[in-house]
Order: sequence, then structure tokens, then C-alpha cells
Amino acid sequence: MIVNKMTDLIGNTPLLKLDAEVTGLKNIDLYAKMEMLNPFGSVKDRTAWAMIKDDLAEIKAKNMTIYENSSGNTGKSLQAIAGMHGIKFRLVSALSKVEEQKQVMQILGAEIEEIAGASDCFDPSDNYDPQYLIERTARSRPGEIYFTSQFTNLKNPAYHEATTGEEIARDLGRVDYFVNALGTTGSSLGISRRLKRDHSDLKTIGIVPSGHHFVPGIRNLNQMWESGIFERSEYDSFFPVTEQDAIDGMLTLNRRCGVLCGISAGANYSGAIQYLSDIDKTLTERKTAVFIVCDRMEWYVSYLKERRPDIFSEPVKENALTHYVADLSSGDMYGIEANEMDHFITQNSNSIMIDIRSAQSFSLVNIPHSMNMPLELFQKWIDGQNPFPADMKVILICAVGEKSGFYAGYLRSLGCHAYHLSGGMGAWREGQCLLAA
Amino acid sequence: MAVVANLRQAQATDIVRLRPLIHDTVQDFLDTPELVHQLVQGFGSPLNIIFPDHIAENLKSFQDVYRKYSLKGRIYFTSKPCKSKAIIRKASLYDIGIDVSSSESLNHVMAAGFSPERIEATGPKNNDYILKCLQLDILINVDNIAELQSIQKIRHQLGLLRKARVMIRLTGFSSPRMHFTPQDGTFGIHTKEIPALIDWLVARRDEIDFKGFSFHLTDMNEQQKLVAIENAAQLIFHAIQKGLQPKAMNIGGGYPIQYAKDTNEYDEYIEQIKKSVIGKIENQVWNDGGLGYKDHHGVVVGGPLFMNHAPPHTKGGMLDHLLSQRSPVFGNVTYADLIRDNLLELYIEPGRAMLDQCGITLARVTHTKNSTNGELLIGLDMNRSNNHSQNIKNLCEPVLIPRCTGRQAIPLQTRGFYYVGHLCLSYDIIQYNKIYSDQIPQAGDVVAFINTAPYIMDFTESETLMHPVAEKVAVWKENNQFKWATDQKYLPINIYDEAENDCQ
Repeated sequence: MIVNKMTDLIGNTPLLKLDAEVTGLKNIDLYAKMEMLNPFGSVKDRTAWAMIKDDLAEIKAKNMTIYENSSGNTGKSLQAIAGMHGIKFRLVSALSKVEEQKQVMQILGAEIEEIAGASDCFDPSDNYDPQYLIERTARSRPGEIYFTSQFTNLKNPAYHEATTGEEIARDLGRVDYFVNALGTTGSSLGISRRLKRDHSDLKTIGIVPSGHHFVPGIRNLNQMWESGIFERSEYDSFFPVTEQDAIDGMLTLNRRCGVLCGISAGANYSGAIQYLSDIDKTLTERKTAVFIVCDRMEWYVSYLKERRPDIFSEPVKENALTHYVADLSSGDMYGIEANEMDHFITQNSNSIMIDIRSAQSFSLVNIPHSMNMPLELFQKWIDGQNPFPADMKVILICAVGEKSGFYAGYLRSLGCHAYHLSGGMGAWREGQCLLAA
Repeated sequence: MAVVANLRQAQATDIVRLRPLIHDTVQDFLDTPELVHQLVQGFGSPLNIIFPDHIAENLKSFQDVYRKYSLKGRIYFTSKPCKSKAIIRKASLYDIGIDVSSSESLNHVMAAGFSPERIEATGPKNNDYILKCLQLDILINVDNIAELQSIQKIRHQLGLLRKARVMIRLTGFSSPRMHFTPQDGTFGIHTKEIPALIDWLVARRDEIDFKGFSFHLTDMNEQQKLVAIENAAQLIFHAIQKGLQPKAMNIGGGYPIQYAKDTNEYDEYIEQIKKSVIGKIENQVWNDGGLGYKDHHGVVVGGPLFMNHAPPHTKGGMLDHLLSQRSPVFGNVTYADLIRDNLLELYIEPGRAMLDQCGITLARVTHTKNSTNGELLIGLDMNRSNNHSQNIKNLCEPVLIPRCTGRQAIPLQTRGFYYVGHLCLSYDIIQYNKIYSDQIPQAGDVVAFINTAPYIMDFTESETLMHPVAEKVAVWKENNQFKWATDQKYLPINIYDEAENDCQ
């Protein structure tokens, strides 16, 4: 297969029929629309392409810059397409909550302007909202800025109606349930409209985040009324999912179906299963359901690390730090009072003082002849083994004498002659002030 | 995977209420209607009920965070959101400082039991206020350079030997890693001017004891606060390198509280208002107002003129959330580590959060009637100055305490209504949002607005049209019995215990 442009690969994604053993559904065939297989990795490739394809020549001729407000996928697609055509793209958005999305855009060469204080999604109630700021900038520099405005651009739903929805209708015919997470609501609206033309009883279920849960790319119902595209009457119901549901759903698709998808696809799958499983029990005839696999897994590594560190944990060594439980019954046995430090060092020539605060804190105030080993490095250094000579006395120092006491206890459990500065640098500095006064 | 529990079917006829979160003790009090009605009868309507004991729980939520991160420092209770004497008296018993913002409020907290070393003076200051602070050796949070010069001058005039203790309030924060759209502000000294000011302070180190930098960002944007902490830390380190000995960073207040009983209910209620603004359902706001929202070709635009009733982090939880974030500027350490490991004390100034669930406002129902356009109005013997704040409208429905029990309840869906006040002025609407209650209030009933202590019950109260302002009564539980005293006469400990026991 030979193609001329990556944009030729947008659309015509397959439908994956999920195994009933995985879904647990007896009477409903559940299909995943594999939008993650679009060339730049998400359903937003279609949205981005729809918004600029007819105007590319003009944008290029007038040397305009494309502006968009996006938390990730739309920005990525727009940057990729703009780059292919030698057009500048500038992303104006709320502070990135998904580190890798931002990094991918940086690799692609996007100009990124992050606005602190802005909401993640289109929020016209906020004067510092990216949407508002872009509109203001565009007004002040007429002819220079091409604002694609995915939250209000009707090309967004129209293209999904003509392509995504059309493909599903062509592949499946009648669809009974359509489940999709709500962001701009453009894909949901377009697909739902198209499917209802063949089957007006289609039930469209909007997936929204539960309460304050953060599922990247999805917005809560309350914000929907501020989207120029949202049509409430299009939806049969709205189904809230938690972060945990979304991650569980994603892992099921990743691990059991070979679908290396991201969080919002997981939210869709999880919502679909929860919604459909009750209905499934009451059915006597076969039904068909479709959900969207919006994007890929790679950009959510830090999101997952934060919420599911267990996935990434390495095997734990014997004597490992994580197993150590401080013995608090014996009190602070290895503490050295601040005013005894000088004496202790003089008496023990083979001793070393290690300050485990950050390099910056150490450089600001430190005890003469102490060395700095920031905690993160220190933990790795001593985890499971004593790195000190048998006769060396090690005095640990931290800010208040808590962490130093803990690690002195741990080093003792490994056979090290460990001590620590009681009351930490705070106590030491007070002592110095008294001496100076 | 969770089972289907909270599936939400959209139905046009659904009416969503907005019920307040109520502290158990406040609920118990409301469940003793005889006492509620007696107090309103005895002290008149409206009446503010103060629950001074609840300050302890709020304080604990912050102290727990200090303990969690082994932080040292001081919690300065910001006294300005409520004028109650009982609350200040109760607060004086705990290990906290207090933040005052006028000369008179300084007198007020000293009379309530706070000694000068526990007090911090903030706000714009005239020379009288500065004089008093210097005489009493009170920590002054300096707002501008003229103030600093006045401090130096008045200290001279007084012939004081001890140094003036000051913190310096910062503004104008910036970070290379993010772009701030500049929001203007009136308080503080710009960070750009600080290096020169540090030199000035170094030259006057025998006169002025510089304790550190402070800031107070009231809009609750977390990223801006984190950048402010970084900027303040950088300037503190700069000051240390220049030879000053700052000890603390004051990160101010802005810790939200939960007003709504249920977050989902709140979200749905706001959605209901938005739907009404674009005409999908009937009006939910008085006189077609939108509480800040407007209809722009079928799309809701504008911003809320009310506060977030269900913020994601509240009180100590908000502080914990901030301190647990990591600073890319300082090698990705947490903000708690940054402050503690540099041997800085952390000062905070919670106001609203310390007063959470510390007060309610009672009012008697005077009449019910229909408005010109046929809306149901419930008249209350109070006015909007008794339950009002400039920028934090509370939309939660008040709790109804009927005059008599056993009355036939009118079902919720039948009709919503508006609470209006007793002023002979057409704008005296107590709440602009439509209220749906268990039953329709009737003359002689009492309603209780919940959580009004911070900024609502007396922040803007006035004797408009010669209506007296509300009295305050402190209420607490002792041996499972409610006790009360006027706010004036309330004592935070029972010093007459023995006399009482003698009677038994």
C-alpha cells in the first residue's frame, strides 16, 4: 500500500468485535471502533482534518498561524498536519495535566502557551479561558490567526457524521447502543445522528467523569451547556465513571484484547459494560453496541504511575527499606544533641556527617564538614545493603530530625554504626544563633 | 468494577434541590424546635447562632497537615470574616495566632484573650494602627513601601530599643515554565522591587527585624499559589545570602469549604440553572436573572456570581494538596520539603475554613404571597444585609423549622419559591435562586440558613431603614444538653462550674 500523505490514512478504521468471554455479555455484541488506529493516534485526527482541510491552501498563502485550545489529542493532530504543510501552529491551553501529551507536542515542534488559572476545557465563564484569550488575540491581529475552535466548530460533528458514523453504519447496519465519552461532543453528536438515520431507536449514552474525577479528555455534564455543539436531546442518558473504572476498563482492553488504548477508551468500555450488563440479562434477542476507542496508551504513563503505582513496582529485595518498621519503643537511642555534635566528631575521627536534605537546602545552610546526599539518592544507595565500612560512624542530618532518625534506625538494622542529629538542622541553627548572641 | 449505582436518567420534569451540608451538632440543634423558636422569640428575627466549639475541628484539619509533613510554624486565624466575640474567645484557648486587619479589630482580639505575640497585623494601615502595633510589639505584615517607612519613622519617634517585627507581602509572581495572564491586584510589593528592598532592609537591620515574605492569593488557583511559594522561597534565599535572617514564609489563606450536602446534587443544580438560562426549563432565577450566566444564541455564556459550593479540596485538605505538589524549580521536591528542609516556618491565614459550620442565621417567616408575575414569595423578617456577601453568594436552601408539627407537607415538585426580605425596597431578595423545600413555609415558621459565619451573617449587615442588626447567641452542648449565652457574655470555659455543682 502506497500513500502520498499521512492524512490519506485518516478514517476507515476497523470495528473490533469483542470476545463475549471478556465482556460477559450474552445477548449483546459489543464492537470497539478503533479510532486509535488513525495516523496520529486518536479520533481527533478526523476532527482536526475536518476543521482545516478545505482552508489549508489559504492558511498557507496568507501565512496565518493556526490556534487551538486543546488538552492533547486535537493539538497533536493539528500540529502534525500543520507541520506537513509548513504552517505554524500554536496551542493555547490550561496547564497540561497529562505530561506525555505535552511532550509529544514539543517533539512535534508545537508552540505551547499554558495558561495558569484556566479551566481544562472550554469555559466561557472564565476571563482567563483559552477560548476567550484566543478570540481576543485573533480580533487584535486580524488576518494573522486561524482559530479552529473545536468546541464550537460545526465541521467537527458534520465530519464525524459523514465518516465515522457512516463507516459504522456501513459495517454493522443497525446499532442499538452507542457509548461515547463527552469532550467537545462533536464525534458523539455526528455518529449518533448518522446511526439514528438507520435506526431511530438507537440509545446514545454519554460517558462523563464522576464527581471530581479526572479522566483526560472528558468533561462533566455541567460544562456541556457551555459547548456550542452539545445537544442534550441526542442522548438517552449519561453515565458517570470514576478514574478507577476508566483505568480498569483500559487494562482489560490492553491485557485481554490486545487493544493498546488510552484512558478515555477505558472509560467508554467500563461505562458500556456497566450500562449494558443489566440490560443484557433482560434481553431475548441479539443486540449490537458500539463504543469508541479514542486514543492510545503511551501518553498516559505518568497518569497511571500516579494512580496505580502497583503496576510499575519492581520486585522487593530482602532487608529492603520498604519492609523496615521503625522501633519506636526504645525512644531516640541514636540521637546526638546539636550542642554535642562538635564533641562527638572530635572523639570519633572515623565519622562522617551526611545531610539528606535537597542540594538547594544544603547549599543555603549546612554544618561544616558535612556532605550532602539528597534523600532520593540516599535511599537508593542504602536500600538493602550497608555501604559504609564496618568501623565508620555515620551521622545523618535532616531538617527536623525525623527522617534522619528513621534512616539511622534502618542502617542500624543493616549493621551500620548510625547516629543522627536530634532536632535536625533546625535545632543546630538555633544553637548557632545562641552562640552568636 | 462497580455495579450500576448512580445511573442518571435525564428527565425534564426532575427538579433538583440544593441542600446544605450540616454539622451533626447544628442538625441536633435544629431538631430541637422548641429551643429554636424560643430563641427567635427572645432575641428577635433575624438571629445569628454561633457554635464556637466547631473551630476546634477546623483547626485540627490544618494541624494534622503540619504534623504530617513535620512542619513548624503558626496558624493565624483570620478574624475578619465574622464579628462574633464568642468565636474569638474560644479560638484564644488553642495554639494559634490571630490575624487582624484594623486597629479596632486589634483591640477586639486582645480583649478576647489574645496576647500581642500571637497577633499579626495585616491590611492597609494608617499611622494610628502602626503606632499601636509598634507599642505592643505586634508582627506587622507590610503592604507597601510607604508603610515600611512609617514603621521606621514612628519607631524612632517612640524611641523604641527593640526592633520592629515585619513580614513583607509580595505580589507580581512569575515563572518561566508557565504563562500568566496578568491579573491586577491592589495588595503587596512587586517581586521586581524586592532585591532593592532587601538592600534597604540590610542597611536597617538594627531597626527592623525582617521575618520573611508573605502573600495572600484569594482566588483559589492552585498553580498560581505554587508559583508564589517558589518566588517567595527564592526571595527568602536571596535575603539570607544578603545577610538577613528570615525565618518564615506566610502563604496566606484561601482554603475553601464545602457548602453543598452532595457534590453531584450541586452539579445538577447548577446545570438546572444553566438550562433555565437558555430556556430549556422554566426560570430558576428571580426576574430572569442568570446569576452571571446569559443566553447567547442558545449557548450559556458568562460566569457564576456565586462561589463553588463543592470544591475538590477543602480546609486542611487543600493545604495538604498544595504542599504535596512538586516544584520543578527546586529539583522536584515537594513544597512541604522545600519549606521544612530550608528550616523555614510555615505561616498560614485561614479565615473562612476556620469558621466552617460555626454559625447559622435564623429568620421568622412573616407571610407568603404571589409576585407580580405569579411567582410564590416567602417573606422573612430579615433583610439581605443579614445574609449577604459581595462575592460569595450561597445558594443552598435554608432548613425549615415549622411552627407546629404534623402539618400536611406540600410535595416538592408542586412549586418552587423565592425568599424575600422585610425592607421597603424592591431589591430585598434574600436568595435570587428558586428554592424547593420539603414543604412550603408558612407565617410563624423559622428558617435556618446554614454555614453563615464566614462572610455572610454580619459582613455587610447594616441598620438600613432602622431595622436593627441581628443579635448573636452562642450555643454549645454540655452533657448532651444544649446551653446558650449571648455572644457578649459567652465564656470559653466554664469558670462557674463549682457554683453550679453546689446546687445539686
